[in-house]
Amino acid sequence: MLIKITKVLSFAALLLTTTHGVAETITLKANTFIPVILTQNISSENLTLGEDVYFSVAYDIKVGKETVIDAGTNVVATVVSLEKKGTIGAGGQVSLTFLSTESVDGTVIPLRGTKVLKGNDETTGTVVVGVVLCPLALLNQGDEAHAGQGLQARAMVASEVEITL
Amino acid sequence: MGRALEQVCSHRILLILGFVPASIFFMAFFAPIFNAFGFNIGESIYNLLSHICHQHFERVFFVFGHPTALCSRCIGGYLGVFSALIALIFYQKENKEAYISLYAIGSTILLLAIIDGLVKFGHSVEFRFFSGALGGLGFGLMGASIYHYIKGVFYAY
Repeated sequence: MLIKITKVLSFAALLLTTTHGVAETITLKANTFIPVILTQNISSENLTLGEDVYFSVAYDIKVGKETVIDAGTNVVATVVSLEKKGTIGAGGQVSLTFLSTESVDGTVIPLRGTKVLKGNDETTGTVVVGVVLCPLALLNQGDEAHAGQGLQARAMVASEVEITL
Repeated sequence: MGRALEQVCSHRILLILGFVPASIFFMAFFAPIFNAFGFNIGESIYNLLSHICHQHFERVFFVFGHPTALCSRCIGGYLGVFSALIALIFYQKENKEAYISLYAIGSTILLLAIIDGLVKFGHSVEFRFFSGALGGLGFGLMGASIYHYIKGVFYAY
């Protein structure tokens, strides 16, 4: 009887391991390239310093044949420097730094990389017109820095991450 | 060897002009290599070259899993210009009409590449590279022909 039970249990254990498989750990190396796409419209006019800006991963990131980050996964970036447009033709500028994304198993992947957005700067023209023609032209302002959905950027994995599949 | 060196020295301007596209071409490949090995200078190269190319992911080559800092068409273009300038250092004709013919060939090739750029005959990265290389070659041939022609007017070869 005991032998029979042992046999049944062994068979059940064998079935479990073959159907569910053994969890595999994959290492996502530091400096792996992550292509990201902006998922919202942003402008230096209404952003604030430290505000989160969201991107998404452009396509599946694979290590060997295994997908470790799905396309469309959210990527969080933050505003690290912000300049609004100003007089004498100064344009706005926004610097974004990538913070993190998530792997298929939910592990947070630290990222690095920056994206700088610059508004149209009219300083030279404004100074020339202001000095030569009319000083009131110095009140002219440049454009705000802005970007729309679909803007591409480069992020990289900041440090090695173990992912369980 | 001595003759080749003499020709290179007598066309220093072409060599200097060729150095610019060659540098840009190599920088486009150095950026992903630096980034893959964690050197920050890679990002600086990307930012520098972003002023002359859109760098869209779907139109670039990948080196060590990182995108080149120029799209495939631009890479082909700079390689074409460089190749044409270097080739014309060694192509010397006493007959100035030869350079007029070369100019015509160059402008025809460039026109073909411009038409492809507008009409988009192919969408693959390789096709874009080939089209860019044709355009660069045409542009380089035109520039070098003008250089040789002007030089031929003032200094007889």
